[in-house]
Amino acid sequence: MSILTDFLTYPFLFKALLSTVGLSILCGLLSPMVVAKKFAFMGASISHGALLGVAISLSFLDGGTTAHSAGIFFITLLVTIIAASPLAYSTFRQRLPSDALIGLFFTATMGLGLLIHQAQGASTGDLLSFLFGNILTIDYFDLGLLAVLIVIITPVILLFKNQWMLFIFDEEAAAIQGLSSFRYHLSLFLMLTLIIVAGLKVSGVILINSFLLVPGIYALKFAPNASSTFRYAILFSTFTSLTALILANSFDLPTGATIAVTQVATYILSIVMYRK
Amino acid sequence: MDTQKLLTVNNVSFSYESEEVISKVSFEVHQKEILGILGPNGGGKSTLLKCIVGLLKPSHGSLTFWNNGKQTKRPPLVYIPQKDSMNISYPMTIEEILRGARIPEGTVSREESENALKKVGLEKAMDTKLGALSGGEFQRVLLGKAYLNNAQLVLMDEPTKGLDGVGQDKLLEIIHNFKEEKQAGIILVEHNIGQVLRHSDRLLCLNRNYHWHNHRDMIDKKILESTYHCEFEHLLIHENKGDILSHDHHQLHRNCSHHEDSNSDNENDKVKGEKKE
Repeated sequence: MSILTDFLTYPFLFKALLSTVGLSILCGLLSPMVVAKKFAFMGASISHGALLGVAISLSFLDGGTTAHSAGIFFITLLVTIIAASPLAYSTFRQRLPSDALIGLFFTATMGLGLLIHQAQGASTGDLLSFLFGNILTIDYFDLGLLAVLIVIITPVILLFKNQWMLFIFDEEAAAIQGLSSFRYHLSLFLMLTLIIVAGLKVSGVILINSFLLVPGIYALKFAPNASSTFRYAILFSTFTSLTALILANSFDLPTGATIAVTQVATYILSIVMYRK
Repeated sequence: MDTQKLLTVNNVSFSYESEEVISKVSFEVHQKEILGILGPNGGGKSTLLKCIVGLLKPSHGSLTFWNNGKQTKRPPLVYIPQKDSMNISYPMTIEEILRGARIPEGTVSREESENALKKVGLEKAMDTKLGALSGGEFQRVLLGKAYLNNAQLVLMDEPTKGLDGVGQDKLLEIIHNFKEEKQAGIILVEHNIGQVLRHSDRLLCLNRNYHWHNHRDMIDKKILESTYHCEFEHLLIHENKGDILSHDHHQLHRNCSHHEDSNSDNENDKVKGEKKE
């Protein structure tokens, strides 16, 4: 029982629980589209690029206040959007940049972030917590932010579900029918960036890609139709991340890494059971 | 023909960067009429279709759409590409693709979708994923979409590719039924010269700078030779083998046995094509 009561007894664990559920819902909504649209590498690129924003924001801000969290979020978001928007433009309708160019982008932004952080003489611990996530740093601003994003992004996707499905399945048909494919492409990019930056403290720059990819891969494999991919991905994401959170708390494991491994292990187990 | 004009393509050209893919192409499409587009791979057929549906903007010339003799904006139209150009990893079902036929105006009920599916002769469960359909079944689902959004123009890119003879005939019969019922125009890009000649009312032969457009009865061997840059007998060899010719296939197949005889004529062929241009 103590495993479960811990989450109610200790405020930091309760905040970790709520933020994990929040991020699971958000990533579950986006993940099937990210995977089907072949945005996986793009997501990795945005998340690594976010480290540049984190490094710049840590140069200006210090302390552990709510204003500190808000400052980090808004500066990181702004820097990431500015840095990644050329990629968002160049990936629209087959104007795909090469894998090498995307790789170049995220190694350059990540490297620059580390250099800026080093030049400011800040402790490496701050940045490491954004690389791999640190649930101890989650505060009420982060929880509020995830709640606001759920309130905004859920209707944007579910009220226009048929339009999103058409856009993902056949972007050209969507454009011919009068949808602005470019607007949908940019909206997907913007939502992806918002969720990545909001989720950095939970899972970090590197491990957030597990949240963005594994639920989608699972949903595309097992959902009976495109409409239900959202539901499948949210349920998978929430179940696996909560299981991982309990495991991490019980065995004193790093949360982000435990979530990533649990999600991949659950997917592999599902495939094995499905084949039997 | 007492049918009305649906589309006038006037002197349309399109260039990718500095390379001109189609040059000053002109033709018309009428109601209840199939326009067959013939030509080798890389000759500009798909580019022309994308200009018509608005995915590409012509670098020169104009496209005019007509409704009851009056100029109008681009009407509802359906572009049916090849199945492999779609995102098949996404588990869209027949019902879901048909439900979205009238986006952005609204969605289609399941009952309407079932009726459309009957019209295209597809007896598949509505919950079947599109990835599980054959090429011919997939084309029929998209024709069902054309029924639902009352498309006045349907553009099909190699619809009979990969189908056997029976499948090809069945699909072309459905296309005929659609154009008669909806008084629509069909633009059919095909590599199968025989099928195009049998089923089209008018023809457009297209190979980059060269194009010819008229009623199908007006076509002759010389026009086909100029389009494909090779002799008619040579073309028949490829047609019987089911090959798809590229606009520069002579250069690519110099060592093929049946090209050996004609290699000496290659330069003449090209000159012939260029002169016609």
